[in-house]
Formats: sequence, C-alpha cells, structure tokens
Amino acid sequence: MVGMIFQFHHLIPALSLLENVILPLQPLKSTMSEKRRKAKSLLESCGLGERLEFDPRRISGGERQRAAVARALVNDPCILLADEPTGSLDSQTGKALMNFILEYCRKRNITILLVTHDSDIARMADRVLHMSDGKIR
Amino acid sequence: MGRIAFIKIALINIARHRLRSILTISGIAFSVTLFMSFANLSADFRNQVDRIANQYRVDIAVQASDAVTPMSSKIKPELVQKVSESPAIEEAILLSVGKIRLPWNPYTFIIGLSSIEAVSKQVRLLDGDFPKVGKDQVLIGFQTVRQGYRPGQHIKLKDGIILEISGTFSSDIPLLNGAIAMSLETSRRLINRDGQISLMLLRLKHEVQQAEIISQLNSIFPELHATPAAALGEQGLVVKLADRMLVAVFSLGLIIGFLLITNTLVMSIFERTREFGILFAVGWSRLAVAKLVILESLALSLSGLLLGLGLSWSILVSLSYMDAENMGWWISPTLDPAMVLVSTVLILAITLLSALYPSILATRVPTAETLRYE
Repeated sequence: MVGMIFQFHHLIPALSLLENVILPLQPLKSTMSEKRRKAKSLLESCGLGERLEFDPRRISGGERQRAAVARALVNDPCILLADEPTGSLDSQTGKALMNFILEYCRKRNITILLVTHDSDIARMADRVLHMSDGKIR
Repeated sequence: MGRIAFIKIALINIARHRLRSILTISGIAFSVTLFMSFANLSADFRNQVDRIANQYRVDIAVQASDAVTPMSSKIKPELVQKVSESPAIEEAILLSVGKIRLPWNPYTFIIGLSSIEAVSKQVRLLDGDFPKVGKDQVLIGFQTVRQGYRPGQHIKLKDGIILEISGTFSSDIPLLNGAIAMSLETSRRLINRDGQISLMLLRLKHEVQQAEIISQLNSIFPELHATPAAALGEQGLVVKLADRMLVAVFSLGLIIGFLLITNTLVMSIFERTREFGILFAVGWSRLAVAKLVILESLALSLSGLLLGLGLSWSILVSLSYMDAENMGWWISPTLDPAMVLVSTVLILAITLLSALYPSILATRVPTAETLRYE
C-alpha cells in the first residue's frame, strides 16, 4: 500500500474532514464503523479531533495539510510519497507538520520518499539525494 | 466509505449545479408526466369501455369495421338481423352509443340499450323507475342529478325533443355516471341513426366457439368487425392511433432524457477532473469512480421519475374533478401500476445507458496531470 501527500491538500470540499480521511478506505473490506474509528483516531492524533465534521474550506491551511496527511496514512501504507508536503505552509507550520509525519512513520516503520526545495526539511531525512534538471547528482 | 457517504458525494455534486440539475430533472419529469397522463387516460377509458361490455358476460363484441370509435360505429338493421339469426348465438344485446348536447353538458354520453333488463344490468337505480318502452324517458346518472334534475322533470333539447326523466342511477363505471341511459328507440331518434345501432354484444351458446364464430363473422360480413368482448376497449382506429402516439411520445421523451442526463454528467465530469484525480490517487478503482457517476445519473433520473409520477397523478386528479364539474363523466384519478412499472424500468434503462459514456470519461482522467496545480 502506498500513501500520497501533495503540495496542495486536495481535500474534496463537498465532504467533511472525517469523510475525506475515510475516502482511501472505501475499496477496503472492513465495516463502516471500523473505517470511521480508524479515520477518527488518525485525525485526533493529527490534532484535528475537534474538527472531524468541519468543511475543509472552514479550517486553516496547516489544518488542511494535516488532514491530507491523515488521509495518506489512514490505510497503513508501507511507503509514503510526499511531493513538497510543506510547500504551501509557513516555515513554522511546515516544521510542525514534518515532525508529526516523521514521528508517526518511525513508530510504524513507514518509509518516506519526500521531494522538497526546503533545505531545513531535507535535513530531517535519513538520506538526501539532490536532483537537478531531472538527474540525480 | 459507506454507501451513505457515496450517495452524499453524488447528491452534493448534483446540488453544486442546482440550475442545471433542476433543468435535467424537469426535462425527465416532463417526459414522464406526458407519458403517464396520456397512458393512464387511455388505459382508463379502455378499461371503462371493456367494463360496459363485460357487465353482460358476453363473448363477442361487433362494431362496424370502418368505425373510428364505438361512438361512430353504425351497423345497419339488416346486418343486425342476419347476425342475430346465427344458430350459435344465444342472445344479442344491442347498444347505441353517442353524445348529445344537453343544457348542462355539450358532450353528454348517451347509451341506448335493447331491453330494460340490459339497462338494469348496467346501472343501479337510485330513484324513480326504469324508462318505459315507447316513451321518451331516460335514466340519468347521479352526476347529472347534481345539476338539479330529478325524476319526473323534463329535459328540453334544441331540436324540440322533450325527454322525461324516469329515474336516476349510479354505476361502478365512472363513464356512465354522467351519462343518460334510455331505450334503443329513443337513443336512435336522438342521434339520428335511422335504425342503425353502434354495437352488438353476443352471448354464445357454447363459449368455446368464440374464436371460430369471430372468424366466421369477420369473413361473412366484411362491413363488421367482431372481437372478443373483453378486448372491446382496444378496438377502434382512434385507440390504435392513440397507442402509436403514446409509443412515439414516450420514445421521444426517452431520447430527450438520455441527452439531458448525458449532457449534465459530461459537463460535470469536465468540471471535476481534479476530484476524480484525487479519488484515483487515494486508491479508488476505475469501477468505484464509474459507480459514483452512475449513482449521480440515477439520482437525477429517479428524482425526475418521482416528480413526473407526482405531477401526472396531480393532473389526473385535477382532470377528474374538472371533468366531474364540466364534462359530466369521470376520469379515475389513479396511476396504472403496470404503466408505472414500464416507465420506471425504461427510465432506469435509459439512465444506465446515458451514464455509460460519462462514466468511461471519468475513469480516463489523468491523475498526475489533475493534481499538479492547485
């Protein structure tokens, strides 16, 4: 299983945060209550326990990106692909988000493959590869 | 994600473009209303005509072969005589039906019957007595009683004929309740038939001979058209024409519904490519996305279907009241379950067909491309 985080949150505005996080579980064969429980628990660990039924348009950019992270992690991926996950956030919010992702993934042995232009974020990684004009240097 | 959330996405997408969805639903509802109103009026009329004939437990109905409706059928007296003399026939009931202009209703349905026994089988006497032979007496349906006419009163027609009301009646057949019933002779005079009648209802000595006798009558008397009595309502050129028009109207409605749903879904998919991209990115299969599109088309068409059924029922109820007040006879304000089933099945089939192309379109959304930018 692979989880994906994009530069922009790409939450579906028609659905609540909880429903957005449940989306990846849709193809899986578990009960609805089990899916809800899992999504709720992940949103709570992202600090969004009070925002479960909120419309994504009514929360801050950092909260939206945390909800997007919860959506990427909800189906217990082996690898998390992250494309500039902090690109649309201020540096402080970005660092807080990265700390959460790293801590969560370390606990569950999830590999992160992350693309960033931010050297501070890159320094958090175990291994850094530099890419220029489509080639790894 | 459960079914409820699945339906919620579909409904929210429909609500996003309220005007477009309302127009699509209205288009489907209009087609359904047109079909259901027309089909039910037609079925109701046939059913009532069938019941008029079947009150007598007859086997064969005979009308003129060139008749557009039973009202325009004219069977000459010599043909009536010849048919009645057939040894296979136990009893022949003669009917003269038509319409006349009465002071309260320009389209009053009149029914002339060959005997008082025949009249008594059609209607229940409420007040007064059955018409006496040789007198211009009539029985009036209870709808007409509402206009203030009572037994013993006279109705003066424009051409100077004065009819005496012998009694009032009610019938289980709504068509008759605003009609007037009388002897065959009186009805012939009223509708200038010169001895001609409209219909012959034949009871056979042996019911099993029905098909054989019908075939014989049709070959010996080309001027006549014999059919099983139970199918009398389906005879007549007007009914056949109405059937063809019904098929044409509904086919056109289905084509319009197909185009409306397809157009709405295709536009919606072009506007929501990112959303489909997100669904693919979080692990949705092509089948799940296609299901979502089909669900949206079902929500549109079922809304249209329900609205159309409600509207057609309202139209039938309004017509039945309007008819009772103005026309003098009733239309049953009911939707034929068979018609409801037919239109539901056809609407569902056309919905699935119209969702086919849009759902394929949705499954071909390029995921990476749609998620590259905000």
